[in-house]
Amino acid sequence: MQTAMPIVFIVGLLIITSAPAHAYIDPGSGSYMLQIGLAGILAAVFTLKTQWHRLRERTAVMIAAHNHGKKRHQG
Amino acid sequence: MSVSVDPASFRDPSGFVFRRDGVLYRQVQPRYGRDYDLLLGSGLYDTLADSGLLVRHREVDASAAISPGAYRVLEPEPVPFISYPYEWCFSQLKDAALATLQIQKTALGRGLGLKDASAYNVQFVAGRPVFIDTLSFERYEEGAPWAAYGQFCRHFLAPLALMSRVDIRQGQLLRLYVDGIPLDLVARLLPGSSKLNPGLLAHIHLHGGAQKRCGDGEAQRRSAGRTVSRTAILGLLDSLEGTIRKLNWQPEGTEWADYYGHTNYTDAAMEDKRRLVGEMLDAVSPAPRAVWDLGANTGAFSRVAAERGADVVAWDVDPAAVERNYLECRKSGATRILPLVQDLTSPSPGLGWASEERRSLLQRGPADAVLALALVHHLAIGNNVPLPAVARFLQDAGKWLIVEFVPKSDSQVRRLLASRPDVFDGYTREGFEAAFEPHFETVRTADVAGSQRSLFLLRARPMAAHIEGRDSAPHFN
Repeated sequence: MQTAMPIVFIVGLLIITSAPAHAYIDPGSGSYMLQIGLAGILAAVFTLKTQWHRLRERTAVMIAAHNHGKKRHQG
Repeated sequence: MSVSVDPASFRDPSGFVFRRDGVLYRQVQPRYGRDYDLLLGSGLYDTLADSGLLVRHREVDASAAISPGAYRVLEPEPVPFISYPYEWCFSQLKDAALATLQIQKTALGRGLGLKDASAYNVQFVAGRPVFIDTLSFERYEEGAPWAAYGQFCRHFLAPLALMSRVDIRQGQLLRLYVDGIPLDLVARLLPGSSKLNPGLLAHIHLHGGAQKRCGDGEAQRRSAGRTVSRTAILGLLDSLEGTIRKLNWQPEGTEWADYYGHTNYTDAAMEDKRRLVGEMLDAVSPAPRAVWDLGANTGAFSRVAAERGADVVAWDVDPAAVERNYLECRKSGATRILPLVQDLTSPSPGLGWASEERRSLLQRGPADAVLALALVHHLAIGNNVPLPAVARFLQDAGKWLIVEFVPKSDSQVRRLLASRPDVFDGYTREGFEAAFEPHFETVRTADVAGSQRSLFLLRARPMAAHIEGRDSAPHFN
């Protein structure tokens, strides 16, 4: 019974801290655990991907501006 | 005055759907008031409705409520035909999945999120997936995992992965598992190579394993106090979207996908049949608004009905034919045709709680008119269904019927009989007419030029005659 108490406390804490206010379906603790477990890598990959896309966009804009300037200069 | 609560609308205490005098309403309960106001006040409703992703509604007087204390009563725009995920082809399920993820991403940007991600919350309207559950949105709590992640994977990713990586027919598992296919089962059915795909590894294999170990106190202890950032949720959605976009299916090698290439119709006969079907549709009065094309294949005759302004459900047993029809409709912008998978030898039954949550095929009818072209011989000879039983079923399905009789001398019927004994003595034109006579009044008959086939325009008799016919229905063989 004593060893079960911390587990009950932790599970209770998880439910209190993470359950959405109006959830009516069982989100499944396995689905929650997996999201918590993968949160770091998901956030890192997403951030890197977003930054990469931004970098590509900026580079494309710079190249386009450079080419445009070159054409005007030639014209 | 008739009032009835939708039997599928009982899980979420935020509200429910009901019909009053045939009009659909959604009652919002006070407990959902805060989230409903946020949905509208944040601009999310307008954004999603303007982009066609969320069904529009108008608020009506609260006196329309069917129980006291309603927060609001909404009248959503009607959906012409309710279909279910186990009736969708691969690309329809994929489009519905991507629409759900797009909605969740957009919602997060406005401080809300989807609290459920059921595939049954999506319907196809004018050829596009539309989310129909206005009460699925809730305030996003910073740090909270996505409560609907498990449901999304069971309802969308799991069947798509099975259809793409194992067999298209495994989409039918959705009919067995009404809240989505269990992930541990999907993990067992997928080939081992699916673990090399990072998305399937995470969202199916690891996810299924995590669900199995959910009672593991050690795992919970290690995760205690940790939250999931908004960036991680966006990463999760991005990963799901990327995984789903890469799942594909090429409709090849199934039974009917090349049917029109293998028919015995000459171009002239096909054109004559198209003309006759059009004329018969024009003779239906009042003009049919809802048409079911049973055995539609890739929808050549569905288009004849759609051109006349009808909303057509193009049913076919072959997922390849339905896939081709859907992709063609999507490409051409055809908004009046809804291609769906249906095995008429075992039509969609009532499913879910009390067998009432998901309605059977016939409960969603009758259609104003039914097309049954090049179909009856498949049911009567291919599946041994007696002709009177075919007639009875078609009478239940529609008020008017355009049906084709294909005689035994036709090469398509000969093909069906090639590898089996002919036990179908009653399968003659006379037997056909005698079987349909108790259920339908014949309005017009016509032979298709350049073929041995005939078309019949029939009007269903009133139900009393139909019930009498049912009790005394003889078997022809």
